[in-house]
Amino acid sequence: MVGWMVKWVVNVVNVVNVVNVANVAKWMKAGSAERSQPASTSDRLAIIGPLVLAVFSILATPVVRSEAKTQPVSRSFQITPGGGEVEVINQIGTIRVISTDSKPDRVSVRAKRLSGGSNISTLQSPTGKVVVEVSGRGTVEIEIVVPATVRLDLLTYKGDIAVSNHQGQIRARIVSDGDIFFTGLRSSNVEGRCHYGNIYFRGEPVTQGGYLLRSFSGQLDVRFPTSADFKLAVSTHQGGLDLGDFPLRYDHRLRGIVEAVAGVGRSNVYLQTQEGNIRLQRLL
Amino acid sequence: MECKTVRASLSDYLDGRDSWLADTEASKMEEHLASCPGCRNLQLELTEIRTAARELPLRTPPRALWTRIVNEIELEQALARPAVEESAVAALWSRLTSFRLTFSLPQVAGVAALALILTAVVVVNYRGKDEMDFTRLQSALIREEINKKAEIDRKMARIEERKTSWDPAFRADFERQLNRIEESIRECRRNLEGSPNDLNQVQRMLDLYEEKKQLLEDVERLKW
Repeated sequence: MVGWMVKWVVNVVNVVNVVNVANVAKWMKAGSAERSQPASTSDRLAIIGPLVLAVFSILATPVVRSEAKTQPVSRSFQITPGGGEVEVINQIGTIRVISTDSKPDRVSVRAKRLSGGSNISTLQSPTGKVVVEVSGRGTVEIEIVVPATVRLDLLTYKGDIAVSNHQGQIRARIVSDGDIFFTGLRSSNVEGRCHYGNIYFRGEPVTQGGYLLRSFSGQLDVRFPTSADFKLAVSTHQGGLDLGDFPLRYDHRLRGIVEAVAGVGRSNVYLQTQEGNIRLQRLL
Repeated sequence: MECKTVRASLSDYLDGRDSWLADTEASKMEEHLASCPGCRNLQLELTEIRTAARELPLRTPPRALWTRIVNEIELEQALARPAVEESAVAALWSRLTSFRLTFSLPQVAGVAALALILTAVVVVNYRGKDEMDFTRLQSALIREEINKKAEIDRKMARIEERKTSWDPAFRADFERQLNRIEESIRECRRNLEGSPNDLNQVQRMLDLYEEKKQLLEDVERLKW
């Protein structure tokens, strides 16, 4: 708001300057004798006309700028097949990642401003890393389509993060409000963290994989297939714990801290909350 | 009494086992021996044999002889059993169940002492493990505090500089989150002062430090 007002004031000053310049030029043409005479009707029109036009242009300027800001950003980047990294940093708004095997060398970004005047930058570093970054205030919805093996680093202040059917490494963080949804994952390395929000995980832990899900006061709702083979380390300090639906052999159980094994423990799963509930169930 | 009857009972009579004979029968036997020279000669011969046998030295049979006799008896008994063979397991079980240990008082005392020592070792080891875990976690907590403190202070200093330019709503939200974590750390510390061996609280403290560090890292990255 402050920035907009500053620009408006600058524009007003510019218009006043334009009008003054026009008058000075006219007065110079008319000669110094006319300066002391009252202005005629045509002179008044000559002064008022540009002034009206200038005021109109001032009022119209923010509207045109706002329309430009609401245009969605859409870009596409070439990456190395089988590798690559994508980093997305949002302020407020959702980040949705759709993984596909159909375009192994292409990352497509689509960002849409829902409110405010955020700046959205999309770039690719010399190493091939694709970075999508939102700065300023406003709500932006980001959707990216990536090859399934790409490494993802996702961060937002407020808003949901959803990743589906991904195979590469995932790191997803929400600083404040918002939920994280992991569905159909085949990834061997997943980290999800949020403060107030919940984390939903649907997928199978991969052999030698590591999975860390952490929320301060939100809930963790994890569902693995019955055949899942993993070591489980759970800690909640004020939240409830529900592991009853899954076949586990308990190694250690001390109030909210549990260590258990399903199968022979081929992957490592860490679930942590301070106040939120933790629930592990079979994926039916 | 006839000779035939006297000779059949003569050996027992001489062995002193005459108590089985009724007094009347013993009298009749003595009357017969006094009147019958044949039976009296037999009585004298048997008496001489008994006397000679008593004078022979006492010979102890060798141990192997007894073992052999026992084996022969067992073999005869086995052959005499019905043709149902016991399984090896059953035989072993039978031998085990028939095996009996006998201990003297010192042996019993020794076994009791050994059991006591083993119990003490198990208890000490169990408690030692618990204390070791706690020590490990306490050490981790101290390390974590030392390592994180400098890092957190650096991040906080940078954030404090930038905080003035933040949106007031963002700033308030961040401070609310930070206060919440710090309040939890203080609460956790109070709990640990009350019960320093509470592993749950030690673990919680470690988690809270990590939470605070991550919050500062994320906020720095957001470039408000």
